[in-house]
Amino acid sequence: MSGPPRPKPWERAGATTAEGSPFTSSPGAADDKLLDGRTGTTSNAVAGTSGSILGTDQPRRPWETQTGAYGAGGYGIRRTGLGVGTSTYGSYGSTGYGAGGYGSSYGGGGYGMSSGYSRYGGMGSSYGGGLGGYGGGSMYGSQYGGGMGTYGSAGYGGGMGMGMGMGMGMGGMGMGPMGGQMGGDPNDPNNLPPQQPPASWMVLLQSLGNIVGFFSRISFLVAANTDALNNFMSALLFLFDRGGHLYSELAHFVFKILFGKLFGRRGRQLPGPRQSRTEGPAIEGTKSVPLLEGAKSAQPMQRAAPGQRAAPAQGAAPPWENIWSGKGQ
Amino acid sequence: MDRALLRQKVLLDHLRPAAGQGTSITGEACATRAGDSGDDVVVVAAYRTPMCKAKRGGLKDTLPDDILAPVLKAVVERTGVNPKDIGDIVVGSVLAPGAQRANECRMAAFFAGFPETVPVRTVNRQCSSGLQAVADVAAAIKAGFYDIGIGAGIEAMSVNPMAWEGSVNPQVEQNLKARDCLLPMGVTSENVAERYGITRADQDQMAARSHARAVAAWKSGRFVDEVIPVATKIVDPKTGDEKPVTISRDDGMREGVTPASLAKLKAVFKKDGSTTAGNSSQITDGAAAVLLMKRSEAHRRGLPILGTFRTFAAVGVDPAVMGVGPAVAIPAAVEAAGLEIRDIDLFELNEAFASQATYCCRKLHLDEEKVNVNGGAIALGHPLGCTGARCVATLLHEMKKRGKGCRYGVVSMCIGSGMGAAAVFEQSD
Amino acid sequence: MPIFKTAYNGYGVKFSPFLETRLAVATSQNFGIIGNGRQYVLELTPQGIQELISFDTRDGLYDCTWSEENENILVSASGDGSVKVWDLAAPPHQNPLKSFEEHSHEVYSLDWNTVRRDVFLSGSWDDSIKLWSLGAPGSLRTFAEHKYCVYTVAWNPAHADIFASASGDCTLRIWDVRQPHSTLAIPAHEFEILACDWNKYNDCVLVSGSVDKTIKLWDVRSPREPMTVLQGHTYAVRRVKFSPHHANLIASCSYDMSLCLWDYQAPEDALLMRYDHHTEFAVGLDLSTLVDGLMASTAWDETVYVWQQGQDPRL
Repeated sequence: MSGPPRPKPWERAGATTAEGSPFTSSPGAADDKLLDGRTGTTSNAVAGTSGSILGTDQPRRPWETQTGAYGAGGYGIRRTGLGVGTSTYGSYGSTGYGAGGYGSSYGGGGYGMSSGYSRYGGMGSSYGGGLGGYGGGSMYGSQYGGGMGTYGSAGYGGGMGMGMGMGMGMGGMGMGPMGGQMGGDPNDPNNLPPQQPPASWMVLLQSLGNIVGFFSRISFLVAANTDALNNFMSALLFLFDRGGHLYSELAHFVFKILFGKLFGRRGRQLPGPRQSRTEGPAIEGTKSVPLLEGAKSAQPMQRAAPGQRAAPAQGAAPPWENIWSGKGQ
Repeated sequence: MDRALLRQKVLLDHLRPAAGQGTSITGEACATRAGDSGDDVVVVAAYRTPMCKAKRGGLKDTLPDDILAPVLKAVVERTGVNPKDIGDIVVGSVLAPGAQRANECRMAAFFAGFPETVPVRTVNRQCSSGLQAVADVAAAIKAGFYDIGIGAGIEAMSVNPMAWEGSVNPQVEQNLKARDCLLPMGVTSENVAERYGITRADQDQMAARSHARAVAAWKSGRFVDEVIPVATKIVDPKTGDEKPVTISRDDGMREGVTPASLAKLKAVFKKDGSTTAGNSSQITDGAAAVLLMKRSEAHRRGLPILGTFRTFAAVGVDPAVMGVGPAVAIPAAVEAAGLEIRDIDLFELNEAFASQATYCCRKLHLDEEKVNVNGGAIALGHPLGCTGARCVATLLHEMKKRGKGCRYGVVSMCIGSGMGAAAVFEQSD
Repeated sequence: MPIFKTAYNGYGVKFSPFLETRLAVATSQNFGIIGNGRQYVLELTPQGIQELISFDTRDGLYDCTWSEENENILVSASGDGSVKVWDLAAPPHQNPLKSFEEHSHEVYSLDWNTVRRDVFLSGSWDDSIKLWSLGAPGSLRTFAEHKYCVYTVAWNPAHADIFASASGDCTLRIWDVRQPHSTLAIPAHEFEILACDWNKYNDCVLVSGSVDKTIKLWDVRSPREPMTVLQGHTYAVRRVKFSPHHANLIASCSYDMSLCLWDYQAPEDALLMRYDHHTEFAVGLDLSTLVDGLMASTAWDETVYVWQQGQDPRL
């Protein structure tokens, strides 16, 4: 019935696909039958929410244990120069630097850095305040849940101090935008210095405080009940008599723990490769560069502090000065 | 009878057209496959390292240049491009001190095997630095400075905390906007939540979804193509022992996260607020790199094209609610591409906070199924300088997997201190 | 050249791809507004144009097209939304061979695929385009992205899966049958676009004619701007056709009752020829693929003219 299809004039003339033509022909198109009603396919998106597993108990994370003390502050913000503590930290009020210093040093911590080292130096200056502040060592203990350890308080204290400062408003305080964003998470490991060597001084101070507190309670009881005192003293004498040796052993052991750690940590805080790296290309004029990472967040209120911190740092690590000076820097 | 009237009306319209009706289509008209030209800038490769939690994750003991070097190496090794042909490497980086990081990047290039003839620089537009780096390379290629470039991003938040050096300018007392630049990001998140009515429940839902999608993506191997394993070491915090490891998985996402489990978290930035650690992005280490070149160059080298870079836009918004950046930047970039938002098939919208991400999705009426389909920063993390480049890698690889149905993609993020950035990519399959 | 008088107002004319002397004319009563329709099949004989056969329909016919695989199959587009298939070789009681009734509004345009030859398209005022094959009981695909009436559909002469559509929503859309959506949407005019056609010798070029009286040439590789704008008609351009024999030649007919021939490559003298033989809206136009220069036109004045390009159609 039908004759062969007549070729079209343009087909006779040859290929008509222009250069750069976006169109492509399927091979064998002339014979193809379009009976499958091709429709486009959209690949299925990766499944949406699949996590309907009721949350099992997760290990307590810092943010789950934290309290409202973080409140308005920029959590995890290495705030410098916040100085003024809040009511919770009234005792810190005296040395804002102290408050910031502790926190910042930990925050900047990094690993096994000599931040402890610099902190140590800084600590010296604010010792008085710090001690006063830590007088109520228990106030930390109650606020932080597990994981406090021997060092947790310091780190949290710092973070909280800064957080509170933030909450106090921008009165020209060192509110730092986090260089980028991301307001920190309470999750922010910056506030959780896991590898930090616990501040031995702080531990000491805290334990001293605890001991003092403990005995103050005892003396209260004693005052209230002399009989109890009498019995108690007898008992004590008895204990000391018989338990003298035990006591001496215990004291020995405790002593070893306290001061043994101190020495051990000090050893590790000395400059390692990390420190030299950060201090390496010392750019003239930037006082911040020679500072260690942790020290970078030194707050501005007391310019002496960075200098103080820098001193031990710089003094302790001259080798990299030579590296760059060798290159003419 | 009405048929007849209709026909009459249609014919009359031909003779007396209603003045200038024009078309409602602003059109995919010009951004089309047919519009591909040899001068377009195309992405040939995009890779990223795993995103690991800062200070506790897999890359916590890795130096920044050791995080960056593997991705720089991967983009040239896996494409077979000779490193000496690279015209420039631009690396987005935010927190580290400028000179030092710039030097570290140069060193990373050497570690990655690039010759000294390849220059390196950094760029910092806060959170968008990675994307800005890609855009800068694309612009330089279009300007003819070179033909092939690498746009990358690196952030090692284990090493560089967010910090403010020096004092704050006292003038901020008089200038509200400047003062608002100093707001912690979490506070801006609370501002967004309050101003635009994003509830805690909304935010937790987005966060749970982000985690679920990220977990599902890893389970189904969706990220395998774009992640470069990093051989590094891990230092045990307690003992100080070093152990060589190879990190090849993100470790930020968590399985089994539900809005219910997130609801237990306390607000961090404001009393009775809604932003918690669970619905904020994580602090993370990571790096990513994107290899760009002209389309003609890609054809000449016979390299497969992952996608075409179309447009980029950076906009400014109120610093107090910096999270709304994408809601302004995305329309700007999409319009510059001659498209409309409904033409976009896939979005990578950085989830700095669930509050701002939710707001942007709502404001732009984005389809949830097109946004962060493989999880976002809440689950994967937000290494500031890296995020932009990481999102490009994730976006392009996902678009490629989706095939022809997925033609246009957008990467966008908000930027601290009140900005937003967005870029449009096209898949050229 | 001979004139044929139809009983109804002419709407579309198409030369047969198999026989040089055969053409089909779609006509409607009362200018297509209301009434019946008639599909003519005409034969060019030495004695003039003679009617070979005609088919009556319930509603007006707006366009017709010949099958590329069977010389006796003819398809008409009807105002009641149906697509009627006629077989010239079948006895009258068996005609129409088929009636595809899927469109909900007037079917305004038909085009048969010249590459694949087994499928054809219909464009309708219900804003959709449907793909049909005679072997299938229903449409194979429906393309519904236009926002207003589709006035013309045209297959790409070089690629079996590509076609273009012109619509009253002021856009031209390029489609690829293999894709779920249109691949290109060109906001070609500020007013309704009534006609489009592909260049037979350059598969990237197409032409559009619009209510704004202009004819625009488009290159799909750079669709932002038209390649050329041809002006000369004083009313809406109703049909445009690229010549099957000459790469640059375009014929157009318009509501200003004239037909024009254009050479779009000529910058200054694009308008080559103007034919004013009609006395009503000129709505049907075709150029023969078999005979170089043979043209046919029909109009609301109930006439069909067939002539050779250089000559006066009235003679």
